[in-house]
Amino acid sequence: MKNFLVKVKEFFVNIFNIIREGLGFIIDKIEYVFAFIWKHIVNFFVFIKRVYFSEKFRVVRVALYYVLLIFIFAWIYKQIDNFIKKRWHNATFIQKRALTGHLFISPWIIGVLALVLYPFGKVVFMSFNIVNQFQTDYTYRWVGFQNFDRVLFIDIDFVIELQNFIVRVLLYSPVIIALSIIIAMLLNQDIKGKGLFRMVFFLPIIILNGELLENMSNYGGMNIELSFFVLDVLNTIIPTFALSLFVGLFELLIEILWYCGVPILIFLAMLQKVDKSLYEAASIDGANSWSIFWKIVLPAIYPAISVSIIFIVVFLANFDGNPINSMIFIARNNSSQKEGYASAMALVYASVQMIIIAVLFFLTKDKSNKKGRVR
Amino acid sequence: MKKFNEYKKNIRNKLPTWKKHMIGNGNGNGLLFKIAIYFLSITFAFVFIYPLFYMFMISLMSNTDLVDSTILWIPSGVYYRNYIFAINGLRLDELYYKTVIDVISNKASFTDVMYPVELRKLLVIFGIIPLTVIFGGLYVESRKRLFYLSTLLVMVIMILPISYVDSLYVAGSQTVVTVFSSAIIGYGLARFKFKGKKLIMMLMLLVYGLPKTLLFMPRSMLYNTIGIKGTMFALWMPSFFGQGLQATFFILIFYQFFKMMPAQIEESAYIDGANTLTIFFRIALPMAVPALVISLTYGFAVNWNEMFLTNIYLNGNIKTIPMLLQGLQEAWGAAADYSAGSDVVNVDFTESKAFAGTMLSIVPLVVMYGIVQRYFIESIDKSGITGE
Repeated sequence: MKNFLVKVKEFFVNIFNIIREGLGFIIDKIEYVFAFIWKHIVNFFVFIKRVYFSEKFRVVRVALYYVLLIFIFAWIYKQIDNFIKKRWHNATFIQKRALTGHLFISPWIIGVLALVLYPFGKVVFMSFNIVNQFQTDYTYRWVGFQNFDRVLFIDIDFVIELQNFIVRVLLYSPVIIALSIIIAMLLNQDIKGKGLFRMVFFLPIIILNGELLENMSNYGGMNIELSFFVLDVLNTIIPTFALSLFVGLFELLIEILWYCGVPILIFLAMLQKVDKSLYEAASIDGANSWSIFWKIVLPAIYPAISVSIIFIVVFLANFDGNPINSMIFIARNNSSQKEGYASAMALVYASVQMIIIAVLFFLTKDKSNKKGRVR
Repeated sequence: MKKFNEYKKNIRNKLPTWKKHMIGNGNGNGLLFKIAIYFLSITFAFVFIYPLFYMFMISLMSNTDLVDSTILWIPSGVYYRNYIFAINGLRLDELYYKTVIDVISNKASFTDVMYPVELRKLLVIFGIIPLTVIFGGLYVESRKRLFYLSTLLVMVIMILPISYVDSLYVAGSQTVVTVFSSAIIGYGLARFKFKGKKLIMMLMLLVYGLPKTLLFMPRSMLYNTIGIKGTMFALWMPSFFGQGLQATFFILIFYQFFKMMPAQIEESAYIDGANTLTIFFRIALPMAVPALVISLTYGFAVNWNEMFLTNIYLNGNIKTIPMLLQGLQEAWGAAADYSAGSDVVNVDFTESKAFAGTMLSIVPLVVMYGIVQRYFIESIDKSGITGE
């Protein structure tokens, strides 16, 4: 009995061993097959990788890249197309027009999001940091208001330049406006050689640039000399500080006149719009040129003044001859200042400029009732 | 006595007419008024032109003439070497077709950075021909003539000096892209009603007020990450998205112009079955020629004269004329001949050399202005540049 049980046990053990061995064999085989396939797959990818990144088969890589790009773009296009079709076919006419309008201005919206708002946020962020550049990576270290403190209270140059800029803008812009109104009135008269005069007055719009102006002012092309006799005579009438201001402005006359180009253009376009019969009606009623100017012409061109003010301030701020621009550029490349300091500078500058624009704009804005006004 | 009385009478008769002739009827049509107008116009015109005239005269002087106090305006002799130096300093002595041959034959004279830049420039310049034929074909009947004209233009560009071609490429391509996108955006703002238009206009003015020094740092970081810094795409991308130089100004010009245009024409085209793009390209854009002329001319001038952003975004890969003008003094330092036997008097860098360079740098702009000024001045009357 005991033997029988042992034999049965052996028998099962044998069967189990056989099965196990067989299974092991099969598993081995399967593993082998899988390993074989895996090896070949890996080899295939290695081959592809070797081909793909080798110098010889660059064409293949580029072609594959473009095929992939085309597929991605086709997919995106299909998604957008589906979306628009769904929206488009269920929309009313007014909704369709609105959607088309959005599509027309979409480049500008993308531009504002990607090229204005995001960089603006980054500038604000950078102005509170010390920025360091290691090869292509930037590291930021939060320092709070340290950059602003340095810009405004420790380093003195920027504040001085900013004061100069404010004074220059506040001094130049009324003179520019007045001169360009005068010149636009002159150009609007019916005189011979009108085309020639216009050509001369619009020439600075085309050729004015920072380097040209710098060359001119450095080497003395700008100042028309005043004779001392005239100055002495004027000095007996006018107090000296007023005269120095006047003489200073006179020396800047050419520079200011050359800035006048686009304001003249705006005022001239505004003047062309005024109805000629208004002048006739006024002159029949007994008005002379002087009162026609104050009562008809000036109210007609008044809205253009605030537009020109914005233009002039932006032009003066962005002009290449402006020393603040080069200051910020130098600070950005300076190893002790870098982007953080420069962006603090730029932020202060931008806010000052926006304040100037806002103040001047609301000072010159047309506050009269629009309904009862001659246009 | 009788005669004298007659004479008095005559004068009395004539005096009012004289007075009227001189002063007019108080409306600004008398002779005195005209004289005053002409006097003022000529004075202002003289003040405008004076620096250019002064620079031209100084640029013809040698250093001896500059020191001589008896010579104020007219030089003792025409000293043309200033101009020869300026031509060398501004790289005007090499013509563009030689570079073209180098690029096509793929010589080793270009570095890895410069070769794609040059190749792209060449492609854009040759791309003028198909672009003109395709886009001009929408408006002109004979495409053959367009083809010949554009081919002629490309041939002229081929024989221009390198630096002029570079500046033309930088300024011209940016201007075309900017004006095109401004026209589209202005049309979208003027013709369609949708929510948030006022907000967009306010935001536009706000963006216009921001100085360019504020955003150039993060933008250049952004271009660095995308990998377009140092190529022309860094200048074309903001231009296309309505953030180019003075783009807001152009958008407002187009906005005003399309607002003034009667919408009935477009509505009738819409009823006849045209879609919005067709209406824009076939009807709206051809009617906006004055606005196009103004914005193209002014935009070209602005982009030509810009060097701050161009310098930063292009990494100095392309050197335009204003940049070369800036480096003129260093160029003279490298080229000056201090050896014995040379022209010792004229060896120093003086204003005459700077002015010669300045004169040469404005030549293309003046030529362009001479060609387009008639249309430019006509367009001012027609377009409504008034803001609002």
